[in-house]
Amino acid sequence: MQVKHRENVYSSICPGCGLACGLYIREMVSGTGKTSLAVDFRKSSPVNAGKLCRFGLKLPLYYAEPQVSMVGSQESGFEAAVSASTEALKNVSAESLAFFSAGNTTNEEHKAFSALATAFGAGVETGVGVYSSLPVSTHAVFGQSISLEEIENVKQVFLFVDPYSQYPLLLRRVLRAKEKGAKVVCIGPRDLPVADEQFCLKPEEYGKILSPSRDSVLIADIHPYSGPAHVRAVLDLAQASGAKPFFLRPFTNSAGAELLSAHTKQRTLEKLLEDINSRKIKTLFCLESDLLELAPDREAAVKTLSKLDTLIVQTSRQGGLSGLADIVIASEPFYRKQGTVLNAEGRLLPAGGNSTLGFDSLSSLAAAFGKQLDLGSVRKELFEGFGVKKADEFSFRTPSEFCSGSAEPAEVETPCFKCGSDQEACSESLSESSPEEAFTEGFSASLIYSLSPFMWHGLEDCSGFVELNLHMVRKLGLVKGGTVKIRAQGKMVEVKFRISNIEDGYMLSSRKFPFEVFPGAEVKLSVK
Amino acid sequence: MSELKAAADIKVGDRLLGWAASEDMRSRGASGGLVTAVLAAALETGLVDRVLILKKVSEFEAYPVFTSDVQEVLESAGSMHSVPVNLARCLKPETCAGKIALPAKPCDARAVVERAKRNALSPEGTYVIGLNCGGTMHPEKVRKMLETVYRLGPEEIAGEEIVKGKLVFFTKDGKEHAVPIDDLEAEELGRRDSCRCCQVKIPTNADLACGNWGVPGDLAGRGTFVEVMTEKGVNLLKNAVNSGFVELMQADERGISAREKVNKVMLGMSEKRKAEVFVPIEDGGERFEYFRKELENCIHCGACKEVCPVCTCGEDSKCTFYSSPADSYKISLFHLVRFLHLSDSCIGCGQCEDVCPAEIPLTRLYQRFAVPVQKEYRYLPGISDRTPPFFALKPEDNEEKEGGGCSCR
Amino acid sequence: MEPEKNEIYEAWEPKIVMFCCNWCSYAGADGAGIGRFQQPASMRIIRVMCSSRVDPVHVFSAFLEGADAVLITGCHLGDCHYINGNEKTLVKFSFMRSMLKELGLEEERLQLNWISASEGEKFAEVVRKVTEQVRQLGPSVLKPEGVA
Repeated sequence: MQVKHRENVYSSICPGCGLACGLYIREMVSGTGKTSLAVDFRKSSPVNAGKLCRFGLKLPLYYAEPQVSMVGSQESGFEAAVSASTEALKNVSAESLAFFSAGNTTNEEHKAFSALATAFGAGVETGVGVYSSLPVSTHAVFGQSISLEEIENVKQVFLFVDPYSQYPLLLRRVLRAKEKGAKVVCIGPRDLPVADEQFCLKPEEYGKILSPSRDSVLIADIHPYSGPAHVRAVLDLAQASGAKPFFLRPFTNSAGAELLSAHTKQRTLEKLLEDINSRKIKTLFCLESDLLELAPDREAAVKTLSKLDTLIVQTSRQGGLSGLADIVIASEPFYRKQGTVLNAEGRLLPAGGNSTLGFDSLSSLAAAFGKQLDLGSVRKELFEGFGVKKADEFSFRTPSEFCSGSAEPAEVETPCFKCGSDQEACSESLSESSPEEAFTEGFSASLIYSLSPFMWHGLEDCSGFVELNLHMVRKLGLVKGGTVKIRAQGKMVEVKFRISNIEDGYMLSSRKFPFEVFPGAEVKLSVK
Repeated sequence: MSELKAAADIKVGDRLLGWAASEDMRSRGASGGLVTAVLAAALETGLVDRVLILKKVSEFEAYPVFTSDVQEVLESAGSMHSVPVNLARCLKPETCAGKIALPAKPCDARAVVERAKRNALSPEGTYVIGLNCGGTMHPEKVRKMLETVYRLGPEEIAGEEIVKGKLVFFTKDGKEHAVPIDDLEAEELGRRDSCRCCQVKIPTNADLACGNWGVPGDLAGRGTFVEVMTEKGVNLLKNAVNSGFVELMQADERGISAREKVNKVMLGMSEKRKAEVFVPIEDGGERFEYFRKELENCIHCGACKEVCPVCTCGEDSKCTFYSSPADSYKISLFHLVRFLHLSDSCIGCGQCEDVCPAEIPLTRLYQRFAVPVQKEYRYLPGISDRTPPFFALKPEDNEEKEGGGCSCR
Repeated sequence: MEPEKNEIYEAWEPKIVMFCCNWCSYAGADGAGIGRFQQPASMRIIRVMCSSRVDPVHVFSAFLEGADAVLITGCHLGDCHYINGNEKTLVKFSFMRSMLKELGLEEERLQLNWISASEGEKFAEVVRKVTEQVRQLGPSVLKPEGVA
């Protein structure tokens, strides 16, 4: 008796963050056509030696709800959705159209998307608006990268990220560096076990307190919520000391997307939403990016996005955004895509699959508006642009001309972060807005989000708690095993708390609250 | 010389020398391709429905997958010392329909026995072809060795073998490059630490125990020594001989004692390494501090539990269900529960250590708990049918001699 | 992180979690109360139907939440209301003891006693003895920061 059971095994990468760890996805299709996924360890992968973080191990959950193409509120076929999008785009004026992709998909798709945007005289926005407030001369620095292995050989490591929750596969490199005698300095509100020295600093203090040497590395990250003061301070520190800056990014192909969109003026997320709200933008096309998850205040974002005339979403996962969309083009899940990704080290990695559904949709849309492209020539251009011969996991990008010169320095869009670099002003405005909440018993704390891959991708992770240090818990008189009430902008949330080694005056959360605040804003805490 | 052994004469306890009958299979497989031939025969004749193989992606990469295609079995032939994977983990109720066969290192075979006790697979339907094993290596280290010690590029490699204490790489130009394993291990390269401490080199708990120890000089590289451990093993060999896939002959006394000798030497090396690794810790405050400090970098990914071949609880396990990131504990409940649950069943396969993103030496920690407990109950997990001591209904059950206890099959 | 100056600092008293089986030892606890036998207020009693209900998870949680010691009590061997529950307890207890010893926790912190319903005096005696032993040992290493 021949029994046919087949598991499809994809040699793929994790879509969780910019490190792009290698793994196997084992896809089992049952008799009823139901697909179940399991993650397996690919120990020969050079980035992570097969090891995965919490997010990587929960990928079956990430891939659990595939999207189906929709036109209006009806399920439709893939082709029908693409045609509907073509129609919708035909009647749109170029100035009121925006294209958004945070970097969650392959270089090939991003390039096709850019081609489509170019047909309308626009570019693809990645939401990392902080670039626009940084001098153009610094942009090349972000294109530089070092391999994770090099980190093991430096003399000092300055960590501006928390490797226990963000980019976890970084941790073992720092631990190895420490074993070889490196000093590890951590900058942030949480006291990390790996730190030899721990500071909680404001950007203006970096240069005064920290003293890296030439053989040090400064590890930070850059993302849609990055504050210009922080990024600039890290760059200045690097320049002054000769240390190497290494900027990580939260999406698997953030690095590739940024390079391919280098000539586009980037708005911050807030500015983009503001422009939609004011009806400056009437049509939005999102590629594999859930803007609702990325927006700091989800409720407000829902209201804003509902104002759009047309919202087209191309995605492989179900989410809030595809629920709001007028047209949804369902692409294949990331591990099935035929395409490449540039990780934070500048390594070109294949996504692992054979399907070109997502690419085909974008290339046919681009063709409908006069831009012809095919996968072969797109790949050729990409490889030439990145300076690699093949995507075999061992080829590193040679920094080239992608990032030079022609980005417009003229209009510097000052990010309208409510609380970006100016924390004092921000806390005042908050307390003014909620005069009825005048406490004598409450205390204020700075709310910081631990921006883990779960938060960036909107995946649930038993995160219904905040972290406070023992001193604050005692001051507030919180009860062991009880909850703390958090108030801001007239809203209140009650949540469990955990005692951690956190700097006084700070509260860490791994779940977003419905406050329109940016990291570092003041909230009020109390028991009653 | 000796005549071939007839299928009808094969019985439990036989010690034989064998090889694949076809020239093609002989050259594909290691040591004469016996294991490949037995697996292929089992699949071809329908003795089993599927075979679990390591599908090669490159010299340093292979992943386990079930196949019912004899050609794929043939293509998976050859030893892969740089693929440290535990095959038993693939055997779950969802995947184990019908009869299956798999090649198994001693740690794989031990995990299969333990999983059978936990009803994760059916022992009657699982044919285990054991392979002698001196140890595997982590691919990251292999690349480093090639770069810094052998000075070879990974693309040049055509194959590898461990022969007489040396790690040999064969390059595509036909040359051989050998370095003593001891030298490699002195530089923290070479085999995985758990392999260096492993105390089961010959898989006597499988249906067949195959390897190249005890193969006489004139058959070196072209024959496999095989010991028949169970009736299922007898069936496997009978089936392979009758279908013309395999030829067997009696092993001679010299071969048998040579094999014993090599085994003894390897076990001696393990004892030595264990003494180096398991340094006694002071009682008192220092002891807890040692464990707390080792575990403080844990990022709670849960990979150690996912990869553990003996763990069969699945998603509803007590270790994950009752522990939460919201707990403000000194040491996670997850670890305490796992230390306890594995104290009688940890086989020391080293998978947990391989996959830990914080590079915590987990196998050592689990073995620190497991070794005293397993000694106390005179129980070695994965070797016999004996019920794990933790599941005993009364203390007297655990006081019976080794090999006793209630049967679980 | 230093405490506020005006905070009341309690002197440490042993806090012991005690699992009592419903049929024998819980009744024994009652008996100790009725007979007015003196015992310190260190025990936090959790009633279970049988001592074999106590899972290592409960014991570990107790220690991790701040208990200085854990006591498991049940019926004498041969008297278990569920016939052989207490024998299973013995098996589990033996494992927990080995494990906690390896972890670095003193042996006296996890104890097993058989106390019958009529042994009220013995109950109080066990409580006194264990409390004193734990007081000598000091607070448990597993106790979280900030828990008394």
